[in-house]
Amino acid sequence: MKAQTELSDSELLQSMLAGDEEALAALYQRRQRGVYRFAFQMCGSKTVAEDVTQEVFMVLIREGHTFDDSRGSLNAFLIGVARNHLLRRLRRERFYVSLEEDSEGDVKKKETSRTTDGPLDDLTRTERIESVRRAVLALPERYREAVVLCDLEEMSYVEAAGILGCAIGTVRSRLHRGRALLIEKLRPAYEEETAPATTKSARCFA
Amino acid sequence: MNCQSSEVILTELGRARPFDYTPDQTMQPNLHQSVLVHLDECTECAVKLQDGRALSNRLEEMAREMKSVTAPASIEKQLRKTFRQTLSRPVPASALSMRQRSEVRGQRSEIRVRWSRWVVAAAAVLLIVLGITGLRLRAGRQSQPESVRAETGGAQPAPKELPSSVEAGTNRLPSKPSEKSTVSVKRKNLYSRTTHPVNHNKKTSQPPTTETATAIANDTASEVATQFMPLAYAGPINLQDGGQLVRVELPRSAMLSMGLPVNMDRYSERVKADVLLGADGLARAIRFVQ
Repeated sequence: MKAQTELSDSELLQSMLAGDEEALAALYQRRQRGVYRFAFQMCGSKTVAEDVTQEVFMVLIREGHTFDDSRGSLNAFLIGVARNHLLRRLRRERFYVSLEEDSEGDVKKKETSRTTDGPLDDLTRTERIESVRRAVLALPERYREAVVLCDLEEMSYVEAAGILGCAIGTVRSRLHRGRALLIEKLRPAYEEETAPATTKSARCFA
Repeated sequence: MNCQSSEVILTELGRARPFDYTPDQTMQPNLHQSVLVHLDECTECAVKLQDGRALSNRLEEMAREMKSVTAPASIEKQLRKTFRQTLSRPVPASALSMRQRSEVRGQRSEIRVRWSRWVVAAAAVLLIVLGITGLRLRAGRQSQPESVRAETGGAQPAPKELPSSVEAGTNRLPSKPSEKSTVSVKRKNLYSRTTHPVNHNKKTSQPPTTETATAIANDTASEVATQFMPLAYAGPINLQDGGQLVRVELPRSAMLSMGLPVNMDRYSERVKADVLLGADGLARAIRFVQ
């Protein structure tokens, strides 16, 4: 008798569909990070990412029997469902302007992710990451998907092509284009970092 | 190798991860080597590669930061709750063999089929009830003629008037006394404005003995007609000279011009009428038929 952690995704799914709640919990613990991260990196909103994650697993509960493991991994299936929900939602809400989210959770996360380099380095790193995040969010959807899947989620071209439903060459060209756009967006920040530090002196004539 | 052909490969090199030799075989190992040679010669491509590596570092940094991010625990609670509602059969996975699993699936599909049968039966009953109700309503409407029936009181029997051929269009009136029975009856009350269904059978001098008689009986059983009303511009009619009776359809508003009451709800509908044409072809009288 295997433990839940040793079972494959397909086996867990079968158990879940047979009515085993613990199989659902194990599957959720195993796959929720990837789904949530993908949704968050695609939309930049925690609330939307949470909704999408919940909806994805709801779909798995209701329509898990439609999953065919010969066509791809369960992770790819879940990310594909998340993508469809996300795109639908983004298209529906494209006329709304979201408010900046800076909840208590963000503060906690920032506190826990501190390194030992000191507060100034932490701040610089946080700003740098934030600027990259904004640049990724500013990409057109098709390029953003490729960058998130291949560079941030570190998927292979084959997996990404399966999720996006396009050819491998298409994924590669979208990634190339997306990265080129990102370099253009982030170039001022690069130049600022690589430029020699100039001390500005100011005299007070008061 | 030139700058254009090395552009996509530079992206791969800039990603700073194992070269992704994809199954479509567009990225050959020898290409990798030729790009490295090109980079020694072309500073522009070298800068591009540098930019690509810097971007990869930043993206990696962001990905590392995101590794620890998880969805809140409330989602799992909500999912468990939903799961209990939808698949509320807590059976340990290990306890179920493949056969048992297929049985469970079979039972569920059986329940679904049973439910769908009930739904179909309920829908059929509903359709039948709606159909019967609709038919009754329709029959009720047909049994209540509008203005003409209102005036006559609706109690009198339907008149026997014309042969069935009249309905199809024009009908030459008979000139022999025995054949013109229907016309002669009508002529009696030709100028009377009061309308009531007339049973012509009672007033005809000879009862119809041919097939026409049957047709007349069938026709009159379903029709109610007003008296013939003279048209204002026409002179007195002498039917001995012959004439024609023409069945036409007119807008219901035409009844108003003859002084008949009209149900305004059905103002735009059409009404049948018989127009009596004289031998000269002029319309002499009209009656409305329902």
